[in-house]
Amino acid sequence: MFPAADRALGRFVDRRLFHAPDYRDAARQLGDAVRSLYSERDVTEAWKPLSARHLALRDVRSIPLSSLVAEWPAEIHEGQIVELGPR
Amino acid sequence: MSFWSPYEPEGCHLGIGNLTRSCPAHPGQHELDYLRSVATQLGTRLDLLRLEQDMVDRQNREAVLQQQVTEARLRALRAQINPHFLFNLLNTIASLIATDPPRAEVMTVRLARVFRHVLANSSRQRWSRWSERTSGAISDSTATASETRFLDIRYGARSIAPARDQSAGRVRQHVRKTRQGARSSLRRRRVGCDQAGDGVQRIEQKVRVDLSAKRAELGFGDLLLQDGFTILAIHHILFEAQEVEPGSELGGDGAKIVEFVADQGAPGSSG
Repeated sequence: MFPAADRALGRFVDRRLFHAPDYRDAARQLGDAVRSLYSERDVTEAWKPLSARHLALRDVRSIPLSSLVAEWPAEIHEGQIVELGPR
Repeated sequence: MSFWSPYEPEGCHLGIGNLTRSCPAHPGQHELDYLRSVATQLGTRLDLLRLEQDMVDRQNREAVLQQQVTEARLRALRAQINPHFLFNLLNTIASLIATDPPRAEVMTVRLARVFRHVLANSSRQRWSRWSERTSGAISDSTATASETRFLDIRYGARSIAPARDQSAGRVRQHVRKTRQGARSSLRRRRVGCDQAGDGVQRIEQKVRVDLSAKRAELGFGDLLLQDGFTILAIHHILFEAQEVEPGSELGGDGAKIVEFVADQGAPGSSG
């Protein structure tokens, strides 16, 4: 019973006290937005403001895979999220 | 500190989310899940866009190919049945129905035979062999059709006598009459035997005929300007005619007639 209560309590605290965004709803909004776009450039540009708002980001970029330099972590080529140090 | 999520790992365009936060807090699991979800959606959408683009390109190519196939079929049909020749003959038959019904019937039957021959030999090279012409496979039919056509020839107010074009001499006579009545000039020169070596001599005649105003009434010019060589075979004399280009030695409107006659000693020699 504790895990369920802990999740519910945590969600309540996040939403009501810290105003954390509903990421599931945000992802759904993004899906609706990109579904009506028909160019690659529009798709890669459309998610930036949404993600910046929901994740409180200062900067959002899209970088082509071919332009990645060698010192990037190899996991990025395997589809994993990687963390970079300060640059 | 930044976090990057590839949304198309196998593609050449790898979208990467940059989590450069305004506050230095480490992102939680919800944020990373959201980033992963965004990357998945973007990758899916980009894949769909590329598939749609490929499909549109394929459909466009298919449409172009279909159009080319249709045009090729139309050209093939036109090559098999020269429409001008058909129109001329149909007009002749129509006039014969009123004046000479038995002959119209015979001409219709023989016209069917001509087109059957053309259809059966449509995939062959352009020129028929001499043996075919002398064997009567098509010569009788084409001769009758052409003779009948010539019966209907009018040039202005002058009526050209029926040309029973069963010999080169008659054809030349016919051309001379056309020349007299149509301010035309006639030269002829022999250019030797053809490559098939089947006893046919090629005699090129250049005829200058004023076709600009009287072309419709002339009929003769219409007939000779056909490209359907097989249809235009008249017994042992075969015609190939084409319009003379502006600036050529003939100048103005005219027609070049190439006459094929049997060489001396060949069956049905008329040269």
